[in-house]
Amino acid sequence: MAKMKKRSVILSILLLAVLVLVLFLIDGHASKYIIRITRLCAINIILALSMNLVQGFTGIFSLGHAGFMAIGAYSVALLTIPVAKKETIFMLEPLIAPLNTLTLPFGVALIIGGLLAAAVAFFIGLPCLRLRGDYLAIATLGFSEIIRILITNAQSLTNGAQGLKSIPKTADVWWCYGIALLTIVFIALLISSSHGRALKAIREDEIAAESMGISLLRHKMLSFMISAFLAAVGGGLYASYIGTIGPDVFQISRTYDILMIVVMGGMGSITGSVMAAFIVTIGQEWLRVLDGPLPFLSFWPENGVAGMRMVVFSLLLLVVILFFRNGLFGHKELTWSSIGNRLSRLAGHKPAKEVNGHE
Amino acid sequence: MFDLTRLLQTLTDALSLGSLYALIAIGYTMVYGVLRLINFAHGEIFMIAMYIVFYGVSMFAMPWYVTFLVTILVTALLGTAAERLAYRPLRSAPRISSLVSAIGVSYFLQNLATVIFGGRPLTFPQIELFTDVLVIGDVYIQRLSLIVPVVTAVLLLMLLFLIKRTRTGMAMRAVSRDYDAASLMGIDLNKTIAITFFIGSALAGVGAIMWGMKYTRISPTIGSMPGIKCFIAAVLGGIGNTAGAVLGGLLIGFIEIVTVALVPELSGYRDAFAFIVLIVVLLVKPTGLLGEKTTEKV
Amino acid sequence: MSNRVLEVKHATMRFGGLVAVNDLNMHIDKQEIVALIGPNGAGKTTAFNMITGVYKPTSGQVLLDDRIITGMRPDRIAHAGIARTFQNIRLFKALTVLDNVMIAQHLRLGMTWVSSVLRTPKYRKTEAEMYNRAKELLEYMGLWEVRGEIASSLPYGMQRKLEIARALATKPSLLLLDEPAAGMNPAESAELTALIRGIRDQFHLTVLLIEHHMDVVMDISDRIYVLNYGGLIAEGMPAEIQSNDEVIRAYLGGDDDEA
Repeated sequence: MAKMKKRSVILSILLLAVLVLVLFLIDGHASKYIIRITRLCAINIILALSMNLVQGFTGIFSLGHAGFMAIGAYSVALLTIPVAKKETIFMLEPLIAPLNTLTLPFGVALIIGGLLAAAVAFFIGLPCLRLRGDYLAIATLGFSEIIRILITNAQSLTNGAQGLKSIPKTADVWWCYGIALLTIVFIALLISSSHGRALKAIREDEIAAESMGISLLRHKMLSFMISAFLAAVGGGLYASYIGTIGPDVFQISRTYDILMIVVMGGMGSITGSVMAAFIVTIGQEWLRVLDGPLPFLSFWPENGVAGMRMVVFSLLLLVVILFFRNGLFGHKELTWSSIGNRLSRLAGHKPAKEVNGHE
Repeated sequence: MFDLTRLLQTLTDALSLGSLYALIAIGYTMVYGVLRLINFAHGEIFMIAMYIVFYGVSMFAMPWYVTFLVTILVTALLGTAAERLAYRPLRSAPRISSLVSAIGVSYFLQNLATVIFGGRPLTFPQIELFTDVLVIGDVYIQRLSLIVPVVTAVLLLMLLFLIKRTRTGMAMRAVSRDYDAASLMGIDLNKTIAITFFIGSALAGVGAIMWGMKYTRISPTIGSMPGIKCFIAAVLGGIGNTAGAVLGGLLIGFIEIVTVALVPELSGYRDAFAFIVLIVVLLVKPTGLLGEKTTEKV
Repeated sequence: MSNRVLEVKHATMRFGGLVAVNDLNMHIDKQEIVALIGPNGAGKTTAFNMITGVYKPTSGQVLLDDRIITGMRPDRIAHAGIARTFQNIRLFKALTVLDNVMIAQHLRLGMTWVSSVLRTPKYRKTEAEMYNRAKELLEYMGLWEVRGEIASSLPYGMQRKLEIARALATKPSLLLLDEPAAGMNPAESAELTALIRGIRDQFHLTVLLIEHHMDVVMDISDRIYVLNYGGLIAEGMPAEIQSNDEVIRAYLGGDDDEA
């Protein structure tokens, strides 16, 4: 047992080292395009894990992610855009004090955005988390839209429909992967703790969980607020990644994009979300081919069909939910011992019986 | 400031918008009644109906009545097909799966519409018979504003007759009361559910035709906001209850139009009203105005 | 200190026009095993749900250790010391046997999620204690060998036992068992009877159970309450209940109107 654990730790450190090396190579030598996609993968990992925490581990079907992302994105934008630039951006109405003369370091802005989103999540959660499954979905979706409507209308705070540009592109590969890694470790620690078990109990059976002394509202709130925090951090990174944001960026379809990753990876699987984040992000880039001309198809329009990519993408979401309902991993995690068992089975050995012992 | 003319104007606006919401809300409430599913795709089916009218009248110059019939039929079939392909296979799966599937269908239809019809907004064909403006004293009323409530009322009466007085309606009521028991009693679940989708989607088609003529702008995303609002209307009226959906739709329509008329500064927040209503309803009376109370058996 | 663990005073539960439980009065003393019996639909599970806070009684009171717990949330009542099992087994299906029992100890954790995530020394110590207690309980129930299995994959009888183990893990003073012997053959229910008695002695518990197997009820109970149509029709020792005319009539003549 101890030996296996030691082996897992060593393998994990090795994997991490390889990852750092790969990132180093990509950061130094790959094309700008590749670097962009690499960063987007990390941001999507954070967003997917944040959604998986509520949906997959706690069983709350919240659809408010785009709203929380928006809060993080606008916080980062407003706190990091240089003062001089702010004056030129806010043409219609000047930005309110003290934001007009304030800039903060990127990391601080991310945290402030996260905390703000968590606070908003608290007030949204109070009415919403009492609701049953699909009512909660609609209510959180509604709040996400309300956040967007507020952003569109708060001209002197958000510059309204004109949006914000010149957001410093601080979120490089290291920022993105650093935070993604922190998120993975954090979620893994949370989920395997007593509180994490309580969340899973709520997902399995609310009535039984409550009868075992688990306060439903308090634990759902915990999950919901942490999720909002992480979504906002992901949103903040995303703002810095694209450089220009507006209310349109945070439409409901943003939430659906993340949902696709979570469903594909498996609701309730951390490793599933991480792998699906890579697959979906890179896959969406590959699918860009579909938007352009396809010379080998004679009936295809010469200049391509804009938007074809999204059609295929949404069709994939349907295929996954209809035919691979549990996604890549379902509730399960990909661990070193499960890989080991798989490999030895492939090699024809009988797998060592897995005992889900105590860490 | 608020004279009789404006009052009448506001009320007719509210009544026609409310009636349109009501027509779409019926589809949500019927589907939720039998499947306990929020049919996220309902708003997109409504959107596609508008494009069909656009192509029929503006592009192929078909007579409006032919186009309307074709539209309603195609819309109804589209809704039924969505059920057959994307919901039926998941009927025994966890509810979250069918919800994701419904989101998938909605997202797919929206993206497909963008590809086929283009992302840029188009102008809905104007059919003079409906869009003519009547002048009564100082009040200008589009003929449509009067037609919409009448059509809604007639369709509602027909639907209520169907639900209360026919075998099909009885089957629908049985399925929404107790799914398993209904199937044990020999009710053809698949057929009943298909009919439910057919009718609900057909009503969305009727709603779409009138919506298009009234608000004239169509785009692939036009369906999502009315869609969500009408689901809220259905919840407000008491989900599963047809008359409740109509009541809820009318109320949401009135709240939107009247609030903006009274406090014009709030017009930017108009789309948020429905959500606030939803939260209040769910907190105060989760079963809606006309809904029945249910308790989970432990 | 009084010897009274649970006291139900004039508890009534109405659902719309239906009176599921009408003016129920009952009490249980320390380390007693009391059975609540009655025909289907008599309101037994509703009584359980009122005691555990799943339903709030329309009127009347529930007292635990002389403290009013009426209308408290189920999780608060679990904290106060009542644990239960369910008529139609409600395990955390997709989780392991061990996790099911660990979860039931979460209420005694007594620290924030931050300590949990950071794995503070205090947390590690508590987690180790929880693990040891889970081990003790699972061994007692003969489930330690299957601790790594997914709960829903266990055979029916083991699921019933796991539900009892999970309830015990909350460290209750009062244990409510809703038809623990349902679906068991005579040999199994005899084993269960011994088990319940063992639990009572081992963990100094008080037990209230709903049961249809009369051999179990008569064998195990110190006292019996009989419900019919939501109202109490008899109370007494097993022998008294067996010879009570009204009880016999309720069982023989009662319609099965399961609500």
